[in-house]
Amino acid sequence: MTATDRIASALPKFLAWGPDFVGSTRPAALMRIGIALIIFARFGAEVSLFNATSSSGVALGLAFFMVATMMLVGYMSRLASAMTGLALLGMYFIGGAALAVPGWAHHHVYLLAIASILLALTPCGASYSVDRLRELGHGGAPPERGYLWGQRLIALQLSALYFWTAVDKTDWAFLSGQRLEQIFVWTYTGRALELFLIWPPLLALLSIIVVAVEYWLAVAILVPRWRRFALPVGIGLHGTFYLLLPVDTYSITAITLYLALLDPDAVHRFIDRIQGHGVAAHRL
Amino acid sequence: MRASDMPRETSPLRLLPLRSSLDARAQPAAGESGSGRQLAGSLGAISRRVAFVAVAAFLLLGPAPGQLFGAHSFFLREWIMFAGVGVGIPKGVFTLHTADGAALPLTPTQVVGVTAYPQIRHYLFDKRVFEDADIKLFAGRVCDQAQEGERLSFEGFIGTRLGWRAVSVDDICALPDPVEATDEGSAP
Repeated sequence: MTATDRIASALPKFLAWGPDFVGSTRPAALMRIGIALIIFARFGAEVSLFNATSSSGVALGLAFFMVATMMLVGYMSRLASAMTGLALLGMYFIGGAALAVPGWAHHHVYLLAIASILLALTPCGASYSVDRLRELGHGGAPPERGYLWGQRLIALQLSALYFWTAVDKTDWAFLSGQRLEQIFVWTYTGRALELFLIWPPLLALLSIIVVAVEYWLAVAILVPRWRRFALPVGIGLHGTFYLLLPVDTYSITAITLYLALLDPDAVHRFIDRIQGHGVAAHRL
Repeated sequence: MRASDMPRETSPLRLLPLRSSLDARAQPAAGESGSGRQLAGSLGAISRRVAFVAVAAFLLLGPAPGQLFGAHSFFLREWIMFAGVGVGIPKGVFTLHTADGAALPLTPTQVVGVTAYPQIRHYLFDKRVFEDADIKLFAGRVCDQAQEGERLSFEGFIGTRLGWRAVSVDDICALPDPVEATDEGSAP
């Protein structure tokens, strides 16, 4: 088989997996709602009108709450998700980089922005949304189905995130436990878990485990037969980060985006099953 | 023609269906010709595929210039979470040498005058040590209160992105005043 033949046989599979991928819109809708809630939790207080010190701050607050609310309830869902993502990117670039607003240029803010923009590439308003309610009100029964290439891109974003953060840690400073010790010296000195600093070899072991898991996750979350192991491991990793380090919304955002790794039709069927559709539907 | 019957020179792109299942299910609207709908579907499929590959390349390879080649750009996000946390934090022993020759050991947090370092979240700790001279800033509280004839020394390490750096300073308070240093860090 020549290289051309191999490409010819692999390309349709790639297209079916990626840009032409079609499935239930419920996971994308759940991500839309989850990411919008996380955005509210992260920025709601910070950009509220009571915190505004200028007219531009008031304008930012009004725009933020308008588009984030639209994203949450699913009104003009794709546009709202795109606008929310762009608002966050504006806060990240202008607020975080140019104006040096503390915390706005951090990784977790960029992840929220890019997730919102990628969700706008999915039909995230076809389920659990005002958009769907309106269509039903007009007598239509829109299918909860559509192109999910944006969802595949979210999966690739997660994979890239794991890969590149592992690359950053692949040096002697991290693998020897020194960088983790530095993090823990800052975090735990004078606090209850200062005991982490007693035995540096444990930190070296933890460092090696973290890097190995992140390299593995970069691939495993994309391989169907590994995914059943990768998801619990990934959730465990993010849960550990959340408990031990001030990662802000990073962990909960990544875990929410794990919905993009699941078979959307299986998620759809699961929701039907736990809601008793076909067994107890329409009964109160 | 089946794929296996095609000549080798044929581009693999020719083998691809330009309409996927959703396109194929769509029926032409009233007043719209079937071929027009088909063309729109094909163009939509091509644009979607091109956009997918472009965005995927950005997501997957965007960090490469900065993380592999040091060509940093704020527009190409690097995934280096917590890489800057702990940078500038000392690990070791400060010693206050009194005028009568006594030596009083102090921990770094005792020197700063805190029980614990401020939480990492916004990198709002302005006493981090990026240059040797910055250790005077870190120990400013003790230097300000030092009596005539007293001397503050440090023996230990300072956190850097490359690991711990050994530092030994004999008389911190006699160091020249540090210039204001900042570190953007790499926060969560």
